[in-house]
Amino acid sequence: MSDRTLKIRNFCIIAHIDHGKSTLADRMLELTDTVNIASKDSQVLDDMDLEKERGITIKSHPIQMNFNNNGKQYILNLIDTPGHVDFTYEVSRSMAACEGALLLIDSTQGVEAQTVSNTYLALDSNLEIIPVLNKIDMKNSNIEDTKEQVCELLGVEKNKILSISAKSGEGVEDVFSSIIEEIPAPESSRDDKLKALIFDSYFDQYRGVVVYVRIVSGSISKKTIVKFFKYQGFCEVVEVGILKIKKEATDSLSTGDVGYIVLNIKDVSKVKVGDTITDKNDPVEYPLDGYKPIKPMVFSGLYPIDSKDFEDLRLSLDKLKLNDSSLSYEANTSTALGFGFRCGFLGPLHMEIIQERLEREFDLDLISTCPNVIYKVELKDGEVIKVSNPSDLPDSVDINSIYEPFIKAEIISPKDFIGSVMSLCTTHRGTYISTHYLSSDKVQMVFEMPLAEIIFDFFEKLKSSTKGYASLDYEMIDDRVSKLVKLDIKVAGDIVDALSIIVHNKNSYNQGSKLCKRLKEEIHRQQFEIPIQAVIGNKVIARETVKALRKNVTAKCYGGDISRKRKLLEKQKKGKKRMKQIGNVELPQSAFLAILKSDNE
Amino acid sequence: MKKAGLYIHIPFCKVKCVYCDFYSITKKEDQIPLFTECLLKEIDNYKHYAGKWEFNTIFFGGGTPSLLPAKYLEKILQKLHNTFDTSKVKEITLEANPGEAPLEHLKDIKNLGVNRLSMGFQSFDDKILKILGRLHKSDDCFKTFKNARKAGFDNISTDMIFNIPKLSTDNWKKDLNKLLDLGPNHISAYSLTVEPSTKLFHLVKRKEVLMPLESTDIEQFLLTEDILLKHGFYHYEISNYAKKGMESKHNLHYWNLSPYLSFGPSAHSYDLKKRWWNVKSLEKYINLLSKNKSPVDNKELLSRHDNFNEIILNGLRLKRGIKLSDLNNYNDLISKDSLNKINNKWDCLSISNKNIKLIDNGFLFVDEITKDLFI
Repeated sequence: MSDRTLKIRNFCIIAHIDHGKSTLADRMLELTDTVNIASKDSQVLDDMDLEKERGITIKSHPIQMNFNNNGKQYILNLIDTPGHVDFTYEVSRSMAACEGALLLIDSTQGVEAQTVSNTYLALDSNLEIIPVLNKIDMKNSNIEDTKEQVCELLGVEKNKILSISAKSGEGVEDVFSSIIEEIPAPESSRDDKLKALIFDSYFDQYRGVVVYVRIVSGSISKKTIVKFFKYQGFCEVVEVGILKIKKEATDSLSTGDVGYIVLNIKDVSKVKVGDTITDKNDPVEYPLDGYKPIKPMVFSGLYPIDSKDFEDLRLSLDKLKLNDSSLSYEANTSTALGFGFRCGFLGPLHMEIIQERLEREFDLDLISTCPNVIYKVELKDGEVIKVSNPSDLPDSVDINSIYEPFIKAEIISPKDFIGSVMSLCTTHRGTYISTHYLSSDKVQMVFEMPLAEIIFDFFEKLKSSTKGYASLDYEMIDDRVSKLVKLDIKVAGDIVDALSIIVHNKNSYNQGSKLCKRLKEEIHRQQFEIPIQAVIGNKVIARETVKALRKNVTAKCYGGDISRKRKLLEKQKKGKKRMKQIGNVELPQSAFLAILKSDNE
Repeated sequence: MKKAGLYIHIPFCKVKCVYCDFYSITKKEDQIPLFTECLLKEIDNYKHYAGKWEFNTIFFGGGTPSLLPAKYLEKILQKLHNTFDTSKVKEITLEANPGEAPLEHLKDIKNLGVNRLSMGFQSFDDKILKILGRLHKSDDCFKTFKNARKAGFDNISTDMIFNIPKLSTDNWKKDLNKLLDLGPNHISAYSLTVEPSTKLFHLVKRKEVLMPLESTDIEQFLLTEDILLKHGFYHYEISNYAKKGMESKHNLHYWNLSPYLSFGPSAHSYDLKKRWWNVKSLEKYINLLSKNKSPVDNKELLSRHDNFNEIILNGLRLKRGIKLSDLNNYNDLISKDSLNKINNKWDCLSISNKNIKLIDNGFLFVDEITKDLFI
């Protein structure tokens, strides 16, 4: 093994959302002079605007630091990871490029749902785990209790747990020594043929495809002709380099390194995250273990408001897919909304983020439909079909039974809220399984419930019924038979296919009338009366009416009013342009998500 | 030469009415002399506009211009006559509040050349007047109106308001009939609108006041038109009715997009290419002009696009509609197709080879149709 490889440490930070991961990363970058304090933007690694605004990390962004330990220069590669349950997949990808992980726990909050799930992921990937308590300088930090919970979780000694304040920098030096001492250097394989794992990629509009790699063996440099395994083709390396705050080109990357490669390739769909790269002229025989392909859990339709934008939407999705391999989509035609895509997402937050990125980064005006899960439908003739779009559900007379995906939901909460959590989960068709005390005050509750029940506003409801204390993690278990029906919405007498939803029989009346009421609020009055009906089959189960517009008059318009009135009406006109014309009725974007709006009932 | 108007904003009021969103200020009448000095200075700044247009109207709005003592009104009028060519001025209007303009004062202002009065009656029901926050009683309306006739005013306009909380359509009808007995030459009848940043807005928001149903508003609007048309008034603008030839020439400048110069705090001026407006504060206005600085707060350059939309916005408010000749320069912005579509959508829109106008009860949808015609 080369001397250089011995001094590389590849690690990630895993944590529940908001436990201070990005802040710790920032502090480490400062202490290693990777980033200049004066010029720093808060949370350096969150480079999307969306990440900064929401204070969450969505995309892993690797970065290299140099650290001097007792006169020896170490290369530390930090691979940042997202903390939200929807992005578990991103976390496991990052882990495949690492030998160790810092498990960061907010000492004011204690162990939470994603602390647990990420720990198991790290253990599965054989990572060395260094537990770190954060926010120890906060008044409400509960160091002892949190340490107890960590011991319970990891089976480590209390004195192995580091205590820091990422905000003030207290204790962060110790984190470096632990990384160097505890986390092993990358292993080197016996031969030195090139073998590199693509763990992320994105499309740069000026340079083309850029991939982030971990070199497992051998080396790669400019002009190397690389071979992929999943994609049968070759291409030339335009540039290699390491990732500091900005990319820095280097002569080569070798065993143990984490870096980037710019490939001379234009077709973004050819590069697959999880694929192995080798040298065309001296290839290895077998690829590395890639990732399991991820299955989307939540589906929703995305349609451009202006049908001319359909091709743009396709190109934008292609580009996003390169950066986010968990996104899936296929072209779909809606009677109401025209050409668009049926997209699959990892979860509700993932869906929201993709929609926002499409609107912001690609400047598209979109309508998204109500999200749903994938159903397995057993027909009378014995055939089993999968339905990810409610309007594709066959006629009820042809259906034998419908299966929907169920999850095991683990909720960690202070024990005071056991009752609230219980009642929330049961109203969401959950079945109680067990309760486990993590410490004297903190419990982990397990429920089995339909995935469909948590994709609307379950997170928000869980947070509000536990004063923000509870956290949720879930995993898929199986598909189970449920009494489900398709609820259609008729606007002005016609079914709007994009508004159809699949609901449980016992909730159908409730949902139908709620949906009609919300749509009534969303749809602007027009010259004629607009009936809104919820129907199951041929049966109308709820009805509301948007009354006809009868008057819209500015009473006074004199010299000082003209500019203001013009601008006001121009603004309203602009809003109208963003509406979708369906028959005679103009439906605003928000109408298609009416069911999602949190209710105050 | 292009015809144009002159507007003077007199911001003083005894009280602020709950619905009013024009700039006004109470308990500052001691500032009138200083304000007048500043106003004269401001007028001076515009002398280069003298030969540009044919000024044919002067309008004293507010606020309550009738609070201005005659000697100050005289100074202002004198300044206007000396600065601009006013030989073609046909109409000099002054807004007056009932009960705040005694006969002597009315005679004085008549002698100064004011030939049109616009009186803020609003209602003949004392309870309603109280809701609106008006200072006068219905008796004051009749008295001031008669005094105005006595003082020699043969062109009197009166402002009335409907769609007021607790105003029944029956009572509105009675009000209109009382008004017709007085015989004004011009009537402005406004539907009460809840404007942001008024006292009424907060009252409605806090649910202390409940606005009438939309159906009541429509009923009263249509009733007004019905009664006034029967009494020989012409419904020439959404909220304005006139006997033959008695339309407000000054206000028509706004709707015809003729130029106008305006003076006083918050006043807006327009020279066809841009619009500019003064600071909305008496104190700032006085401070700036005392230091020989411009009181202009901001200006807005109007694009072709803006101009087009303003022609639509104002034209549709008039009975005669938008003159197609006004749109000659904008043919590239109009598509025949979309015009046809809008025409099919709205039965109350009539498009001929001369104009685009609202017919039947089309005024009720004016804002919707304006939006559709906007580009």
